[in-house]
Amino acid sequence: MRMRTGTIVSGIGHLALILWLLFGGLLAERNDAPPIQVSDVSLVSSAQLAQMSAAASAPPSSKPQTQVSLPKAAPKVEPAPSPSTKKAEAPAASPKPAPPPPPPPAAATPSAETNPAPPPKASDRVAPTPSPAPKPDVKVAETPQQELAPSPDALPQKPQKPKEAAAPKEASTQIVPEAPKNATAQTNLSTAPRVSPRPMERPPELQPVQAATANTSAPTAKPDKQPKADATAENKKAQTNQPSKSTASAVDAALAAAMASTSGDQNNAPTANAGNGLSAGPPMTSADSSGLLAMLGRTWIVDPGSPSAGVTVTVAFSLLPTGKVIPDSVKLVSATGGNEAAQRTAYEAARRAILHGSDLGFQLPPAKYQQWKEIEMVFDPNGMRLQ
Amino acid sequence: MTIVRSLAFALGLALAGPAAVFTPAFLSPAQAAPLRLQLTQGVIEPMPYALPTFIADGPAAQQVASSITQVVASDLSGTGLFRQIPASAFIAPVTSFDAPIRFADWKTINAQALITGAVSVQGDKVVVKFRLYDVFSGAPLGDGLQFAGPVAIWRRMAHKVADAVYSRITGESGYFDSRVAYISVSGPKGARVRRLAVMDYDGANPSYLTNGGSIVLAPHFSPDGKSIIYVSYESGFPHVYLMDVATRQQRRLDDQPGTMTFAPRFSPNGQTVIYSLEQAGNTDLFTMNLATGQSTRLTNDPSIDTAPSYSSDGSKIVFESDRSGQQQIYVMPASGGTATRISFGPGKYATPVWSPRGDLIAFTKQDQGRFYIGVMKPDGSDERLLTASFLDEGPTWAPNGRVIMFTREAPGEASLPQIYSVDISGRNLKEVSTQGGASDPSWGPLLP
Repeated sequence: MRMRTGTIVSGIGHLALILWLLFGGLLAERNDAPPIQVSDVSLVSSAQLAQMSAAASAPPSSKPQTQVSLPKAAPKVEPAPSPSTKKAEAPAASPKPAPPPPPPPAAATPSAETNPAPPPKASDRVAPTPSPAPKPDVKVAETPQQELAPSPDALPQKPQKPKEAAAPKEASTQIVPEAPKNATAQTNLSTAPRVSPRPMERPPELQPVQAATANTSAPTAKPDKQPKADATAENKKAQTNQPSKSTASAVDAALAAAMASTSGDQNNAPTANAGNGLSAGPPMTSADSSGLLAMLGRTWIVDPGSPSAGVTVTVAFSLLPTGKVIPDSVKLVSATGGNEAAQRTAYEAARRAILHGSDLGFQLPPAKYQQWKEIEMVFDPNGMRLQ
Repeated sequence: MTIVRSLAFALGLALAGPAAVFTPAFLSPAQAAPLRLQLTQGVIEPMPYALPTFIADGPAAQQVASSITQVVASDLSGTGLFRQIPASAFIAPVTSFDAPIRFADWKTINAQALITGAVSVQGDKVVVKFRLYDVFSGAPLGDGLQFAGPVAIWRRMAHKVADAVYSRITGESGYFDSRVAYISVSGPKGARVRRLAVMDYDGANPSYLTNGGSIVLAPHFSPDGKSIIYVSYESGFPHVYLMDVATRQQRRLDDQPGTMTFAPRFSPNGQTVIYSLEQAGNTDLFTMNLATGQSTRLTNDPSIDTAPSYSSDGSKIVFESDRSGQQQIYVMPASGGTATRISFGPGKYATPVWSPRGDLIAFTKQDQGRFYIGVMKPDGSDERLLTASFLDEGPTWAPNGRVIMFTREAPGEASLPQIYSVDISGRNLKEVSTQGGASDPSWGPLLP
């Protein structure tokens, strides 16, 4: 009996516990608890309001540049917030301040990071904050203030306008004017001019991703893997220039523009720089790789009567954003068929083809650099071999 | 409702779990494997190379250095696999053998290989050294080499340099430092004078081993290159003779009265000779042990079995026979036995020769009034005809199995036979320069 009683009591207790868990809302709370949903909503309530308003103003943000011409409003805000916006504006209006503007963009870019969206988003954030609690935003723009000071513009009216204009300006300023201005940086980045025309092919939505990938990857890859290549010097220059933020940002902007040429949206470049560059952009197409294959097809000399014509080799190599092969990166991955001598000969022929083709220049889409910076090429001469 | 949400959440987790595991693989393309591409079509063209005139260490070496450079260039370009870039295209001359190489200069003129060398002459001795560079890799291909010897054999040293370069780039052994035994032909068609001769592979340095007093045919080098076996009508009938190239002493191998022997060829180890023996109207294959002189019959067939040739490993014999009604090619074990026909195309097949590589058999084909030189696999498959003319016959393989020499004769009373060579790809057909007419080439081994 004791045993039965105990069992019954235990059963009832467990059943009660289960019922309490199910109907008491505990489990429901846990399930509903997913921090992602809850937190997002709660946070959105306060900050998103500003964003919502910004979003509302966002549509016009696509026309930031035109707004940039509203520096007048900035003067009104002279005291605190407006300066930042003025800075961006000022440089645009007066060429002299141009150098200082670069730094602000950098600051602006990080903020834009949260908003993966293109330039408009960056402007959005800036816009909402200004009216009520713009102070934090002002902090971001602090550095440039001095420069803004010199621009004693009139007494515009609405501080909000300047803010909106300011955000777009920063983005636009960095990309648009600086890239062309810094001829040196661009010339170093030989890819910039070539790339710009091609980008148009990419789908609009993917473009920003590509730009981000390309931008971030380009500088990162260069220092890591190009120590010996010609482009290394170029990269080093870009890096050494970083100390001077204006030049660095200009280089970044130019590089971003070059690498993201596909997008064609200049405002995306800075945003891309701020991104982590995990995206590789749209997939490589046959057309994308056809240039590379065509070039290698012209430089790969096959001797159909040689034993090496029966050897298929897979050769790996790394490329710089410029499309140049890093000589030391050319390595034999695998070889099938023939004896050791034939395999060595086949590999050397493939290596010559790669290095020769690199000298002549490979045609590859810069925006997809992440996808072709490492290549494994299979050289299969069996179709050309004497039967 | 709550229960439903709970269950839904649990179900969601169950489904989302695996998804979360696999998602990263899709969302991290930046860290994906290298882009993998395949190339199946390259170009078939000679590799451009630069060969600055070898630097002469002193005025005495000037002429030799220039001559050696020319021979090296002739060897390499003569293969059809290399194309020499004219010196006029060079951006900067090579002034010192040990000077650093400015690869950019050579890349500019599209040279893929660069050969630099130096020659010095001290008394009767000449020293040649060279280095080979892979221009686009900016690195040497192998170590530098040096050859030394009497000035009289400077051509051989040039061939040695060319062989080394050829071997390093192609992965195959060379064939430039080798000799060819052949029959020198002169005189009108009705009164030909035929002499046994030897020359360099490129036709240089011809040397006559017989005086033309009797008809000689079908010479073949021994595997070590020291002896030549051939057919002579010295006795009035064809018989097989063996000559020591150095001493030029010859001896008749068979002494069986009432017979004729012809089409001799050495076994790969040089210890045995296989040949055809005609007796009482029947021709069969026999072998003879050179050490003991003992002969062994391999075939016993009423047809004509002739033109035997050993496989490179000595395990098989390929020969021609008309046992099917017309000349065809057969393969059988080296010790004799069942012969398997391997040629089935139209026309007649003759003079089969097994490649040193063992992968091909070269042959002469006659069809519809024209002659062809072709190759096929040992099983008779993949027949390819390399040449065609009024009369092409008697193929012989280069030591590395890459090139075939043969006899070509044009119609007409005044025409003399000539020796031609062709790459096994069918490219690079060219005449070998000889003094007068020449036929029956037999490519000897690579010299030590």
